Amino acid sequence: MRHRYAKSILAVFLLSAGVTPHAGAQSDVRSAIAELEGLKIAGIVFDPPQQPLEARDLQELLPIRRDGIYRAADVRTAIERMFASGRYKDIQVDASPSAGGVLVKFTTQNNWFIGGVNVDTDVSEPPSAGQMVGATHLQLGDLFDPAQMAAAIVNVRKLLADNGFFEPSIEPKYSYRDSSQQVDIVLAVQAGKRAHYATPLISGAEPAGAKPPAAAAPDARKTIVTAEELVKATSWRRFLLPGYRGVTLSRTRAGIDNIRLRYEKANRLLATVTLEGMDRDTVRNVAVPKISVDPGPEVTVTATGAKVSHKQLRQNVPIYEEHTVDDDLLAEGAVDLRAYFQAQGYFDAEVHLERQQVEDGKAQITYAVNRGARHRFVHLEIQGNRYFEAKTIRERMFLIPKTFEFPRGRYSEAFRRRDAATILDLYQSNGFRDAKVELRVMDRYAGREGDLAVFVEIAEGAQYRVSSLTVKGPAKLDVSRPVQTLASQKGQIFSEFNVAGDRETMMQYYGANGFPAAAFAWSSKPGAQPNTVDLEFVIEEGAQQFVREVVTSGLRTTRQRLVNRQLTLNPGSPLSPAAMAETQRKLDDLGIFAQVNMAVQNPDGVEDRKFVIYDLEEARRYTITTGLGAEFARIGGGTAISDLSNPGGGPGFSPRVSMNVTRLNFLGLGETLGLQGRLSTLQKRAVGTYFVPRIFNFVDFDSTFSLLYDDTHDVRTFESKREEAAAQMAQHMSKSLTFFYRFNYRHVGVSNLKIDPLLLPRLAQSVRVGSASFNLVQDHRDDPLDPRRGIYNTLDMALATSAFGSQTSFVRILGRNATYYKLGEKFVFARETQMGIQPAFSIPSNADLTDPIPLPERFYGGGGSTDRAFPENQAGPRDLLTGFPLGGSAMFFNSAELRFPLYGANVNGVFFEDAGNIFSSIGKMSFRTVQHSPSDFSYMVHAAGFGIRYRTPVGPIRVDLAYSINPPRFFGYPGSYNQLVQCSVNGPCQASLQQISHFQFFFSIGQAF
Amino acid sequence: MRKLLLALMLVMPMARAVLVDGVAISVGNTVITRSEIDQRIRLTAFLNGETADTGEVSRREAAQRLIEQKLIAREMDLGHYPRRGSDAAQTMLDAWAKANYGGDPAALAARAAEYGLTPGEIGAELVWQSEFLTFLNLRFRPAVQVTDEQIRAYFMEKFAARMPAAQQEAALIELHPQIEEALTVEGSDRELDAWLRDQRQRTRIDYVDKSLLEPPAK
Repeated sequence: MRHRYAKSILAVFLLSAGVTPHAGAQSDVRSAIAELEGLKIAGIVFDPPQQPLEARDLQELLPIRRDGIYRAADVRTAIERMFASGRYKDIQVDASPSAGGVLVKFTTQNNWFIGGVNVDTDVSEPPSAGQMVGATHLQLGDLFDPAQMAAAIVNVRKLLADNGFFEPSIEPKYSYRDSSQQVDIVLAVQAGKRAHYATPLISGAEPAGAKPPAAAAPDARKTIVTAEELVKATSWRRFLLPGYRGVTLSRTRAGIDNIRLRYEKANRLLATVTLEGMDRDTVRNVAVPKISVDPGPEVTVTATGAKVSHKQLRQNVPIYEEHTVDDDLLAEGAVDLRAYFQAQGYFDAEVHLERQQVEDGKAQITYAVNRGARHRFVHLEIQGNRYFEAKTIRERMFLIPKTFEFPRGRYSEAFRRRDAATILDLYQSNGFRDAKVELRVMDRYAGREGDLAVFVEIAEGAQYRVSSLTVKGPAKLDVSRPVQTLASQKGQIFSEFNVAGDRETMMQYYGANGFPAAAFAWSSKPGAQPNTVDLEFVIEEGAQQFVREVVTSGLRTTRQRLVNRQLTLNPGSPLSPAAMAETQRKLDDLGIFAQVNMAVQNPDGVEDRKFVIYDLEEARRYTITTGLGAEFARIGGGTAISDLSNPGGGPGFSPRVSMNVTRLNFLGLGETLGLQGRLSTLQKRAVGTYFVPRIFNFVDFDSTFSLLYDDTHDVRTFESKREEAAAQMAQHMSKSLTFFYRFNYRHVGVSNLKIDPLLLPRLAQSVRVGSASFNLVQDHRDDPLDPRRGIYNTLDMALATSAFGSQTSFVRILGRNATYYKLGEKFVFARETQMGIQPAFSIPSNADLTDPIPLPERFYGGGGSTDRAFPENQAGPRDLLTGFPLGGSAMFFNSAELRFPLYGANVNGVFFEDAGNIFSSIGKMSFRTVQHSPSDFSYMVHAAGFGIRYRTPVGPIRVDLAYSINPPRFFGYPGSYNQLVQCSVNGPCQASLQQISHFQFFFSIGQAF
Repeated sequence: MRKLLLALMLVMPMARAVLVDGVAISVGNTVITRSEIDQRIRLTAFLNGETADTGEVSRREAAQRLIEQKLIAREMDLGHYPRRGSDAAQTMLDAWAKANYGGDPAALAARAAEYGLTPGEIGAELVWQSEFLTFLNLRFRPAVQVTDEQIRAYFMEKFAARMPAAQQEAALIELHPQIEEALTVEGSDRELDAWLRDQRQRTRIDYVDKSLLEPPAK
């Protein structure tokens, strides 16, 4: 470049030499256009008249005006500015003399920008439509160049070939939107049938290096991994069926990876496995993978100087995890091994890598370990801290003196250095600019060999404060409000940490107001007072950008007005990334789009007003899920109507089938129609729901309308049939707090009661219940499926009264409080208390006076989620003749659990203690632990036990074994129900004393609470 | 009647319309106009004291130089490299006139006019060249490291054969700064060329005027 400019640059240098360039004047370079120079501009016209820039923008942009003077330089500037807007592909200007001067005409050709890119395909996944769109590399809002399409199609074709579709037809279709210069692209893809794998051709599977001599032992010549084993490792063959599976990219990658892992098992850590290609057999529609293998040398890792198990080597030397061997990983292994020994109390441990050369196809890697003396870190003392409490400092430190969890303390040189830096950073970020921190180590602390103490010596120095703050630069935006929120105010602590936060505050403010190029700089100088600074913030605002229009694409069935209601950006609004993201979030929250892509069109174009684009991919409208399951537990009681055996529960098995059908985006309004059905030996249930995600576009409110039919036998005392209509509105107060307002109207009938026949007239009545309820859910748990810390509260208050059409009147208040605490890194203590009361009022004369609430409306409890002393729903008062549970109008349950790791990362154990019961009324509630008689159920029943949890993505699988300490005794009837009726008529029935089993077991998914 | 007059005004002159300017090449978001290529040819000719050649080859060469100029100008803006103010053009022009035209601005203007140029255009070109040299020194020169071995090798290749062996060590010491400078300039030129090649690949460059495309190599 310099030489290309050499002559010109030379001219600059020759200034002082007095050399005049030879004048070879050219007159022919001045064309007839020179004659136009200086004429009056009689008019400016555009071809086509409809320009991509609006008239007012063009007027601001162009340096030439009608009735102004024509200058060629101005015309060039006009072209440059128009082009820089990014909206033009070509601009040509011609001019002609006119009666009034010169007429200037701009002939333009517009650019096009990429809008929605979609794929219309018959391909069964993979690849998904989204993957194909991604393969095009066509970015929403970017300049569209038809030449890009060839590369895009090649990429999609390759993706399809990688997934076994070798001869697809791909046809692009374009639809152009003139108003926004946007082109929406649809790729019509017809892929045909997916090819299947065939037996792969594997080359190079023999070990590298010299072959062993023929005289060597027979196993020395053995192949490391046989071809059959390699094919098996790929998992490309069908399971239990003949032939191979369909080709997919992920299967191919996994297959290649598995071959490498197979070699790794044989200590061939340096094995390389390469897929060289796929030969396609069009007749059989199969693909033959061609795989090249280089097994590499056999790698063994050992440690000398200390005993290190193979397991520890695998855990600490990352070559196993990274599946490769290089110097960095081996060095990292030495560091990790040192950390391992330091964690064992060998704080002076040294580990050096001694790597030996490869010989005879074998590589030996040895770590030389010198453990040194074993220590205990017994004492940590913080000195010189005045501003921060020792607790504040300690909670930031890695060094921990011996505790139950770290019996030898946690100490290493790296931790010591890191803690020193952390404490120094803490002080400096709080204005102690001259702070000094030293961590002094003392061996043989208190005269005991091997005991270590660390003294944190802090010299805080003076705390610097801001004596004045000046903000320079803001002109287009009023910054008084954000400036008031800055941390570096006059009199406040001065630190670079605070300044960084202030920078963030100001830049966010400018970003939110459409200043993408705003820049922030700051400087400080010593203030008038000691230990103070004068602070100056300088802001370069740059140009402000606005929204020209919001363009949406990709809507098929969704109504445009539903999308429009979610837009927080309007034409003329500042182009705020935060507002754009807010709109994207709101569209996402509708739950009807699989993808919401957002972009600013023509991002590099120099224009003040930009199109904002949202490309939406509608989710599948129908979702059908089916489930098959079973309940296996102490379910309790015989299922036959006349069977009165086992009122206290016995092992039971209940198979279950369920099906859910969901229709998303019903009528294109973003609402959801759902139908759920469940069929088991205990329950027949069908629910239809209609979910409205927003009420009048208030994002915090949603509503659900539902119709329910339920025929259940889960409380084995009776069978209940329920038909219910409900309307519910949810108000999401915050991320963790939700209110529900609900109205239910239901008809509940009971049948097949297993109770004293004399009570039937009062308890066997069907009842209509109309109730209004308020429900609060406050959830501060870190993980709802498996919480480790946080709090969970619910409160349910309901009123059933004749004013709501109810035949029974009662108030229901049910509260639940659960808290979770982390004990150290791995232990969790969890507790939960539930309490509920259900007083009746306006009691009808024919009601059961001991508990006037109809049977199906009562509280039932006991079981895996309340009190594991009982089988499911077996707590509380029981029929004095049959022994079956009757439920109650008050309840109290308390549970405590200690959760701890048991085996590996996924298996945990639990010790638990449950207590509680169901009571016929609040007056009967008691905390005593002794049952006075078989007809006394008003006491606390305790259980203790042990459980195992296996972590899965849908929550832990739970098995609990409980020992009930004081299970209730009760009277049951040993005969059938017909015999019971007979004896009730003829004379006193002979009851038998029974008891809930001391041992209970539960099997389910999810923690108990 | 007014519409008719307007139509006449629009239609009649069209017959005599001349293309005054237009996009010739686009480089990212910037353009090289037809008039800019023409101006580049005339400026180069003026500064080199040659006759302006507006033939196809010359236009292509000017277009390539302008593409590089656009890429460099963009980098200067992005990197906030020092740019000279508008006063600099007049100062440099005055110095040019003093050195070459006896300090007579009218003589300079007359000579420039022969090339279809104005003094302002020449001043702008002088400023650009000065800014370019600054950019070159700041952007690429620091990346060039010249070792003593390279200086010695350069000396042995270029100078040693022309002097007795006994004088070579002393001459090497004396020529060390000049050789180092020459090698640094060579190195920064190489860096610049590599950077330009990279930028050309990264930047979308469209030739609207196809005659400016380099003919395919035979």
